[in-house]
Amino acid sequence: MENQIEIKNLSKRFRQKRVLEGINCIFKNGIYGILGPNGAGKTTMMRCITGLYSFQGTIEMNGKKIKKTPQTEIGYLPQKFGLFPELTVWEMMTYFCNLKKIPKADQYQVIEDALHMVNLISQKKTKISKLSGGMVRRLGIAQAFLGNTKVILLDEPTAGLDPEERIRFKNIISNMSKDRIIIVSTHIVEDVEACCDHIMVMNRGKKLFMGTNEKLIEYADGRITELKAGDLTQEDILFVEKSYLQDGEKTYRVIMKHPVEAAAKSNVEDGYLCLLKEH
Amino acid sequence: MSFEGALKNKMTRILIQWRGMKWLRYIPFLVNYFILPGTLYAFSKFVDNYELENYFVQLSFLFIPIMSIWWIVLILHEYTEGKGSEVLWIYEKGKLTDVLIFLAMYILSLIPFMLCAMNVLMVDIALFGQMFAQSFFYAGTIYMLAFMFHSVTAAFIPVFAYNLYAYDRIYQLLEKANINSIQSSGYYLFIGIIFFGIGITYHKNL
Repeated sequence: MENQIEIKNLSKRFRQKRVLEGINCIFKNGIYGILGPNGAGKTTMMRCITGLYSFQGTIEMNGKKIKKTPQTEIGYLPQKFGLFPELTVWEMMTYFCNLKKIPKADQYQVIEDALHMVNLISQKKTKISKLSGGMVRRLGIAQAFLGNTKVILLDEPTAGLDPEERIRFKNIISNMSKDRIIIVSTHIVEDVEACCDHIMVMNRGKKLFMGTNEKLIEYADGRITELKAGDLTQEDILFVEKSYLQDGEKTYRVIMKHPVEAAAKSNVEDGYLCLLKEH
Repeated sequence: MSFEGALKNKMTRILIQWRGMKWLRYIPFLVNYFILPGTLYAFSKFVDNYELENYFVQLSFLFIPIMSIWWIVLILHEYTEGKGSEVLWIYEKGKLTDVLIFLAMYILSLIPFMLCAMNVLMVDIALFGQMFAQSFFYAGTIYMLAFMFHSVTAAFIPVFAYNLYAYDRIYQLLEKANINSIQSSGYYLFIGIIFFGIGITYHKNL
C-alpha cells in the first residue's frame, strides 16, 4: 500500500524566532534522509509531523489533513531516549505495545520480532539501567518499529552507536522500508548516503533540496579539486573540506565556486556542503 | 479494541508503572502504617486519650494528604523529565486516568488505617473525608504544575510548602469550626477539579 505524507507551507515559530519557514514536500513509501546542520529545523519538523507541536500550514497523511498523527500508525525515536530505567527490556516493550494498542494475544510475537531485529533478545530480562548507551538506542529503534506503523520517524538514530551497530541499523531500516515511510534525521552524511533513497537538505528552517543522492551529487559535479597549501589564496574557492598528507605534502580537498578542469569525483557530502555554503 | 481489551491494557500499564517505582512505591505504606502509628504510640505514653486524638488529627493532616501524591509524582516523572518523554506524549493522549487510578489506590490503601483509627481513637469518618478531599486537591495541583513546568520536582515543592501551611490552618479551623463541616472539603474538591482541567490543557498543548 502506497502511503504519502504531504507537507504544505509548514512554518513554525517559537516566540520571535522562526524555526521553520514555508516547507513544502512529499514523502512516499521508502527511506528519506533529512540532512542539515544543528539548528536547521530537522527535529522541529519531525515533531510537527508527530503532532507534538502546533504549526502553520498543513500536513496530510494519505489525503487526510491531520494535526496529530494517529498514534497507532506512527513510530518515533527522539534524539534522547532512556525511559523507565527500572523496568526490564521486555516490560518496557510491553508498555509500548499497550500504548500502541497492540492486542495482548499478538504482543509476545511482536516484541520477540522487534528485539530479534535489533539483536537485543538476549537482554530481554535485563533492566534498562544496566544496558549500554548503544543498547538503549537500539531499544528505542525497536519500540519505534512496534506494531502496524505506516510512518517511522528516527531522530539521530545512530547517535552513540559503534560502527558495527551503525551497519546493523542501516540493514534494519532497509529491511523494514517496504510499505512504510521511514524518515531519518541526521547530520552524518555517511548514514544518509548508505541507506536512504531520497535526501532532503535543510538549513535555517528552510528546505534547500529534495531528491535522490545522484541529484545532490550533481551540485558539486566538476567543482571538487585538490590544492596544495600555496594555492589556498585563490578567490575561486567556495569551501575547504578537509586536509590530508599526500606524498609528504599537505593537500586540501576544496569545493570551487565554478567547475574546473580535471575535477575530482564528487560525492553526497560534496553536494551537501555546496548547497549549505551557497544558501 | 474492545472495552475489555482496553481495560486489560490499562491494568497492565498500571502494573508496569507500579513495578517501575521499585522500592519507592512502599514509602506511603511506611509513613502511614509505621511512622504515623509509631509516633502516636510514643505520644500515648505521655498524654491522655483526648490529647492523643488531637495529635492524631494533626499528624494525619500533615502526612496523609501529602503522601497521596507520592505515586502520582513517580508516574508523572517519566512523562515530564524522562529522557525521550516526548515519545510517550505521542502514543498516550492523556495521563489523567492513571493519576486518578493511583489516587484511588492510595485512598483504598488507607481503609485498614481508617478502620483502626475509628475503632481505637473514635475518630469521626468525616475527618477522613476532609483528608481525601485535600488529597484530591493535591493530586489536581501536582497534575497541573507538572505539565505547566514540565517538572515534577518544580511541581512538588509548592504542594509540599502548602501542606505545611495548610496543616496549621486546618488545625485552627477544626478547632473553631464543626469537625463535620464539609465546606473546606467542597472547596478542595472544586479547586482540585479546576487544577486537573488546567493540567489537561497544558498536557494537550505541549
